[in-house]
Amino acid sequence: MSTREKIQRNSRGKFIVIGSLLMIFGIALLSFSYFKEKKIQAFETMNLQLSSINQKEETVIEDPPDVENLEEEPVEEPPQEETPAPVVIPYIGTLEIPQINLKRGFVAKDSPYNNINYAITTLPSSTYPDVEKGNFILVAHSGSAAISFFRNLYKLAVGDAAYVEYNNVRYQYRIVNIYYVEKTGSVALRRNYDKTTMTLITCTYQDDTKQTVYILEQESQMPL
Amino acid sequence: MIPISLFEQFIKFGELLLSNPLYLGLFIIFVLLFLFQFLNVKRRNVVVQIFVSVLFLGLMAFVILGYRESILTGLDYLIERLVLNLYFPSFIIYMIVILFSYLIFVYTTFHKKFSSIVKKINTGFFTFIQFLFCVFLIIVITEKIDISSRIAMYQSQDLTMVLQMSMILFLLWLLALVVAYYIKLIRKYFTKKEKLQS
Repeated sequence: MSTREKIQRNSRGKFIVIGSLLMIFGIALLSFSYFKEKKIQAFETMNLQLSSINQKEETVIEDPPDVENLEEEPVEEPPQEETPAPVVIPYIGTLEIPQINLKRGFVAKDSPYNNINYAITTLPSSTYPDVEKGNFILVAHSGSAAISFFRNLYKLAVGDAAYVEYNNVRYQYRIVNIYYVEKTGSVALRRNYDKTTMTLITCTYQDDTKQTVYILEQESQMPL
Repeated sequence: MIPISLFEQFIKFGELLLSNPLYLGLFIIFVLLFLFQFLNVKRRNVVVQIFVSVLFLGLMAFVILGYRESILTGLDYLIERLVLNLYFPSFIIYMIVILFSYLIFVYTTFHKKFSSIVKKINTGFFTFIQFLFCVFLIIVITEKIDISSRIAMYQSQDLTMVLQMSMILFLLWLLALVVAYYIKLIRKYFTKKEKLQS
């Protein structure tokens, strides 16, 4: 074989190696978001297992809302705080919605991990599920990012059930109202103040200008 | 659930086959394919080899297309468990990883066919993984962690960090070996072609 042919063959070999490595890199890039989601699920599974052991009792007693005022109540969005990325998030309870295969933990309101980029966030103005006639408010991102814990909430309809486990009690809720509000920095909540409720808030599916508010009423509770 | 003898298992298996014509049909097909291939081993008839391979592929395609939802769910669950064990391995999984790292290191160090680059890669990764293993043992002893319980292990942030680092390093080590082996295969292929041509 001549020198020129040898050089050509070596170049071809290098091209094949580089091409194959690029293909593997491309496949890795395409599957990155899938594996990132699996990673978050793995951390979530471990967090849930750890929090079931380390569950702390936290009750917040707030002044009950004005029962006469059945109109809208502005709710401020939580401030963004910078916290270091945790290895394990200390959950105090879980939110489960079987209809969309969602089971996620939530942290205490005063936890540094109560941030929409780490977990389903409990708003500061929220009460906890064990407060009579209170309103337990949870927010999370929708969309396709790994932190979009409420990505499938749009599939829910009035009548769907949700469960919250908190302080060794399992609370059952049912959706009674779904409505949309403009993104203005605060959200109007329309709920029955004679009932114990839960509110889920997230960005509206395929609409960057609105947020969807799900109002759920507590139906029953069962000790674990 | 009570244990049953092997003989009883075979009887139950026979009952299962006869309970559904699909099972019986599949069993007969697989037995025929086995006989075709078995009898063809010495004869090496290419037509039979291709025929058997195509039939196997066809059967797999039938199963995958017919039960793709269940298969995809199963694969998804498998990857979920793999990722869980990558980031939060149990003690058993971790010991298997340490054992594998020993085997890879010993095999590649004492085998002449591996290049010096591969041996250097192996030495580097092996050393660091063993160092992390020692740190793991020290943490377990000093903090008196119950290694039989995965949850007890991961209540310690230091132990979590050490285990996750070990697993990620082991994965990177395997990837590096696969890439090195692949490059060696390509080079071998082109060197062989050169020798044949010259």
